[in-house]
Amino acid sequence: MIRSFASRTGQMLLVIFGISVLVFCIFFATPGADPTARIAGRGASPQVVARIRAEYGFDRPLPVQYVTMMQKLFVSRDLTSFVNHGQRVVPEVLQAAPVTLSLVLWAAFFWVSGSLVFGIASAVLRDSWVDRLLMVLGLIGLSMPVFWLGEVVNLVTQSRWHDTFLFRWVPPLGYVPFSQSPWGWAKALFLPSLTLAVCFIGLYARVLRSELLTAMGEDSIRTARAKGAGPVRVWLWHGLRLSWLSYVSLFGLDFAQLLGGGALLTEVVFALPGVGRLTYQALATLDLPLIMATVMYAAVFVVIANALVDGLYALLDPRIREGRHGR
Amino acid sequence: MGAEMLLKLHHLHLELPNGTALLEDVSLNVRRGDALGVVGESGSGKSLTAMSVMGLLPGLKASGSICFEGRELLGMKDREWRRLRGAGMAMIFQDPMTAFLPVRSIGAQIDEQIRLHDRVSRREARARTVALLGRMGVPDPEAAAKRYPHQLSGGLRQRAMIAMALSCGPSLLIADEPTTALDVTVQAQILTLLCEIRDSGAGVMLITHDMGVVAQTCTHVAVVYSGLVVEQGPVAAVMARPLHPYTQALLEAIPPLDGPRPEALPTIPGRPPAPDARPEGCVFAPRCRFVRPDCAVRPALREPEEGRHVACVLYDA
Amino acid sequence: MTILLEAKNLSKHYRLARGETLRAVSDVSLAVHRGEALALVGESGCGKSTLGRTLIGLGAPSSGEVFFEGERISGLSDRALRRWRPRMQMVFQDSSSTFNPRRTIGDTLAEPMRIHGRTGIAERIGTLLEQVGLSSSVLSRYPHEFSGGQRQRLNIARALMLGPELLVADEPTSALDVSVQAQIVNLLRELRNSLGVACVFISHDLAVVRQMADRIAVMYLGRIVEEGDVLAVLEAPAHPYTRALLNAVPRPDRPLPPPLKGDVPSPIHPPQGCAFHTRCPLTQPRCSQERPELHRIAEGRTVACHYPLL
Ligand SMILES: Nc1ncnc2c1ncn2[C@@H]1O[C@H](COP(=O)(O)OP(=O)(O)OP(=O)(O)O)[C@@H](O)[C@H]1O
Ligand SMILES: Nc1ncnc2c1ncn2[C@@H]1O[C@H](COP(=O)(O)OP(=O)(O)OP(=O)(O)O)[C@@H](O)[C@H]1O
Ligand code: SF4
Ligand code: SF4
Ligand SMILES: [Mg+2]
Ligand SMILES: [Mg+2]
Repeated sequence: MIRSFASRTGQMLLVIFGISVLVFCIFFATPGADPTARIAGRGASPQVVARIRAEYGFDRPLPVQYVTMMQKLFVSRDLTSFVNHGQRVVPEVLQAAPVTLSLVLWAAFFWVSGSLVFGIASAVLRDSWVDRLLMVLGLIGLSMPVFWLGEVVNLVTQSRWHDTFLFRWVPPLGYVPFSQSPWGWAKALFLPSLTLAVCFIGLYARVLRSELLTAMGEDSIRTARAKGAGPVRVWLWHGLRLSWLSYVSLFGLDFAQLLGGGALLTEVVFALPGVGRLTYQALATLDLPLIMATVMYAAVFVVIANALVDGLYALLDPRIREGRHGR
Repeated sequence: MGAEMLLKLHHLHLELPNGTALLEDVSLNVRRGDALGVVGESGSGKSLTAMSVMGLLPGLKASGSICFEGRELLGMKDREWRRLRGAGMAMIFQDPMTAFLPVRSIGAQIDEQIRLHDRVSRREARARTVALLGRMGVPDPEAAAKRYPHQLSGGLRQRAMIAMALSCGPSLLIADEPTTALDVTVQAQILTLLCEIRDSGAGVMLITHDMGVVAQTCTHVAVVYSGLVVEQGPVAAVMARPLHPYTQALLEAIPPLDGPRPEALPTIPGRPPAPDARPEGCVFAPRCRFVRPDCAVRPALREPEEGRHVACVLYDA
Repeated sequence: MTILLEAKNLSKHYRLARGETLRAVSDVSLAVHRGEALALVGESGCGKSTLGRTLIGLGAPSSGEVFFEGERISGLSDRALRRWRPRMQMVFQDSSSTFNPRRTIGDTLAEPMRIHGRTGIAERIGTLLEQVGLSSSVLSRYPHEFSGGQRQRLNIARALMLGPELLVADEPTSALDVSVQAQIVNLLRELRNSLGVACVFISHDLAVVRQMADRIAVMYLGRIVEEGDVLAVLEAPAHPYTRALLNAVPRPDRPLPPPLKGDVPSPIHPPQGCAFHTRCPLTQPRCSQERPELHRIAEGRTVACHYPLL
């Protein structure tokens, strides 16, 4: 158990290392482009350029540059954005992280519960009009661009009908930290996360429906019915147990990529100061240190989430548990 | 008459929604302490018969009569049928690997069945599970209950399956090819177990296409051909002197394990008709060596001798 | 009778993950004579299919040698083996997977001859279809239009296309009904008589084996434990395992004898000494120490047991 945990952690570290090297190479070791000038930003004075070159060691060999960069990112955490007048980037990312986390948690709650209800309902009522309606709705949700939907939601709830009783409660755009006011936090995130969840509900409901229907043809479901289990038990207990796997793996990937900045458009539209918006700003101003920091942050999250999904897998399916670290 | 009648299928007929008859006319009886072997070629409708008794074929239209312990099952509400399923009658399947849910321990799955029908605590259910597994000859039943299906051998899995089927003391056990996926030596173990269950007073319906298995474990046999029961009777009598031409041909096609080795095995020409293309008269007529003009009217099941039923014009009622 | 195929100390091991080795076939020596049918029987996983495949060069053995007409064919490259392929063919249990569902039967049947650049394909197909009892109208049809028995006939016809001298049939009747099984068994016997093809017949059904084969080799955990004339062995088995197999066959004329206890041990960790000692009703202390070698107990009869029943 301990050994497998250790090896798992080692693997994760290795992957993160690989990603960091890759990212570093893309941003700082592309031949023909001087990273110094890019970090400094447009129109920086020669003194600044010289200082940056010395600080990052851009006049030294590449491995040294890499180590310096990582040291600034993870150890001394004093990587500085020059575009943004000397702001430290690591605290900035760490500040943005809880916003994104809150948003994605809410969204995940909506899309999991929504897709469970829709997916199970359309599987149980397969080929009826309910099923067809739900699947069409899902398809619509799936194909609506999230920034467009977000703008529409904003338009309706912030200006058009803001003063009707329906949307009077909607707070102005922006984020309210949980520590400041839990209720405000929930209110501020409700619409953004619902918007973000819409396209996932459609996708996940479809996946769940087809997985459930496949599972229903399995011998073990026939056994469950032969045992005298009722329909509720057969669908929810036995059926779901068999169809969890692909749902969970899909969920893990989506959750991780959203945490890592994939909710960019939603954050921008709803003016939430999360990691996605930070990435957006960094890209807009070509702020290399900030890009580096956000990408590394995203990588760490994706890797951790993957590990968690694998753990969940093993919890859900004993065969996988054994395949990985058998006796 | 002897033992009490447990299950009586009378002219059971099963149709697809489009009107194709999958089961044409199935009539058979199982008494307490009897083991009825249901034999026939692949696709003849053996599994469908079993599934209809269990009420596990919601999409198909059944008519005729399924009488279990004096109650008519056809037309019964699913809720009531469910209460019988697993408690009054239980079923085991061909492949014990896929028949169990792969993601839960076999103990948990047996507990589940017990708790579906009896109000007992988890602890009591597990105690019953362990006792049952022990009775089925599973070594170290307590540990075995905690294992997952893939961690057990095929024979142990099938024992666990039987333990689960017996967990609520059903009076009828339906076994659909319980040993087809197993080795001969393990098959012998399972058959011995089934014989013990039969001797303990339950009714057993054993579906197979192996005549040897029937001869070994059953007291009665029903031969199914293309959705119809064509012969039913005590095993010894049917084996010694089969009445229906199909049964005769089926028995002759089995290679002998002793005595002289025939140059060629007798075979049945042609193949069984598809459910939507059954002949008007006797379904076996196109392949029958005794066919005669009056076979053009489908013969009903008759009883030429005490306890032996056959659907063939060669015999007078 | 001349020896057609001979295996000497043949072993086949599979390397598994985690550094374990699965000994599917261990130290098997056997000979198939021209025109003879040798049956390989044993329980699931004892290595019958692996042995059958290794015999005709589908997969290299881990050690040991195979000779075809006195020439060594084990250890040859695929290219070098091509010369031998037409003379040894295989028929599998699952006939549906042999046929490509989107190609006509005629196409599939012609393929082996085309690959080997033979001519006279149409006549050859015509004669073979007649031999397996099908009319030539089947050629333009697709695999799904046939019953299991018919497909197995076509499968056999395909294997015979190149006029092989040896046919390895891996459970050719296991997926079939008794009445269809009888047809296929008759067909294989007939073909053997008329064409003189030697046959390695893999099965776990002793009754079918008795009907089909001249000699029988009983396998347990990758080794041959008894070999001899099929009628003699099944009349009076010399190895306790052979007797147990025979006893386990359900028969109308006698009650079931007490079955063997336990399951077949894993071929990854076979028991020490005699591999059967964990289940053998006659086991003695010596059996768990010392592995019995295959030795002759009568003319054409060998057994690997310290205390044979004969
Ligand atoms: N749900 C279904 N819808 C349509 N046809 C079906 C259905 N279930 C079974 N059948 C058909 O009914 C016939 C009888 O099937 P059944 O499974 O009872 O055969 P069986 O006697 O059990 O055969 P086997 O020995 O292969 O198990 C077959 O032709 C099969 O294709
Ligand atoms: N490619 C492979 N890799 C690893 N192990 C294998 C492989 N092929 C076969 N085995 C193992 O080798 C052993 C012998 O297999 P084989 O298929 O020869 O048995 P068999 O006697 O034909 O069994 P069956 O009656 O089930 O067909 C089995 O334990 C099997 O799991
Ligand atoms: S009724 Fe006629 S065709 Fe049918 S089995 Fe009897 S003799 Fe043969
Ligand atoms: S050697 Fe011993 S254990 Fe092995 S088969 Fe013979 S008697 Fe049994
Ligand atoms: Mg069936
Ligand atoms: Mg095999």
